[in-house]
Amino acid sequence: MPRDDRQNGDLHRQRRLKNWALLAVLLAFVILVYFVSIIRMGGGS
Amino acid sequence: MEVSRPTLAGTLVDDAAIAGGRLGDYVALLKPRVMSLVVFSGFAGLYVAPGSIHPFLALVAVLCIAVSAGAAGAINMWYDRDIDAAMSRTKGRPIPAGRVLPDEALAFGVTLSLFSVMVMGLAVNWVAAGLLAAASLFYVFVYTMWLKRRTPQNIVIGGAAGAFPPMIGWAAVTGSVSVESVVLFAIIFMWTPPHFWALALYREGDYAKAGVPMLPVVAGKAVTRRQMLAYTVALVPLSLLPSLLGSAGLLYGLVAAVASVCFVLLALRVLRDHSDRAARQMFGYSILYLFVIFTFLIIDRTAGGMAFWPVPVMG
Repeated sequence: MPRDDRQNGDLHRQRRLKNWALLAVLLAFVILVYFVSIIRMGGGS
Repeated sequence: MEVSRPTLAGTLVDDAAIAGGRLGDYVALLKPRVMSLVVFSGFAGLYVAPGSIHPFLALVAVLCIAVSAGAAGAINMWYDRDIDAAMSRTKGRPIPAGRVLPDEALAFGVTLSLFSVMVMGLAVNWVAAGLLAAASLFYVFVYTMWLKRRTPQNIVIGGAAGAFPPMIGWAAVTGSVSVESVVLFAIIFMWTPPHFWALALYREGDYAKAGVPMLPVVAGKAVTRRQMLAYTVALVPLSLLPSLLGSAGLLYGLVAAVASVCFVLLALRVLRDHSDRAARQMFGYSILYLFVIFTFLIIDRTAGGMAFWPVPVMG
């Protein structure tokens, strides 16, 4: 594989990995807000 | 084609940085090693505070402290990228190594800072969130941007930023600031100078090269060693205050006394033994010291604590 293609492949893989990580963080945040809301509305503190 | 561009800091930025760096680089921006001590002391403050908090909210509070500390670290790396590039200890960091763009690191840090403070306020309470914001702002504006490059007292005053976590943890439970939580703050505040100056003693050349006016660079190593001793001596009575105030018991008091005396003995050794080895050992011990102090605060609280002074029975 030519060097440019291999480097582009690496960059795309890195970018994809970062996007998945960002999705995971956003999902975790949604779950966190959900549980915090449940606890706060239930009178927990 | 490999692209490298000079940045303002005089470092090179390659394709990887333009693509946004690797995940590991973003983790490195958060200074995970520093974060561990911050998280631990924050958790200790939360655990020993009187009152109760829902375990999930406690987890959120500790997470916010961790993320906020990491975010402040990322902003610090953005601002200090020029001196980081000049120091052997820090030149491998993501920005000076050209793996993350400076602007991206800044955006990453600011976003995480805002998120952590907002989540702390909404999920836990606004006193803890206010303290968290104050700690971040102090670290970024007072320590990083104002003091670090201007005065050898940089880490003395700037140390306040690192002393906030137990007070934030305490406020997460109680919703207030009390004498006991200020004492926990003061312990870390007083511990910071001997901790950083021990590092600066054997990294003096690095700091001098980068133009950072650390005490050994400006006033010399002899003055630094004497100041380290003064701060460790001042730490002895301070470390005993949690027991005297009743927020910890006899077990903590005994361990804190022994650990603090050992700290003083190491400072005395550094005063006489001018080798790097002695300074390194003092630096290593200082980290252990803080872990021991806060571990025994937690253990003492778990065990219920035994009064330091006999309490007279009235009746």
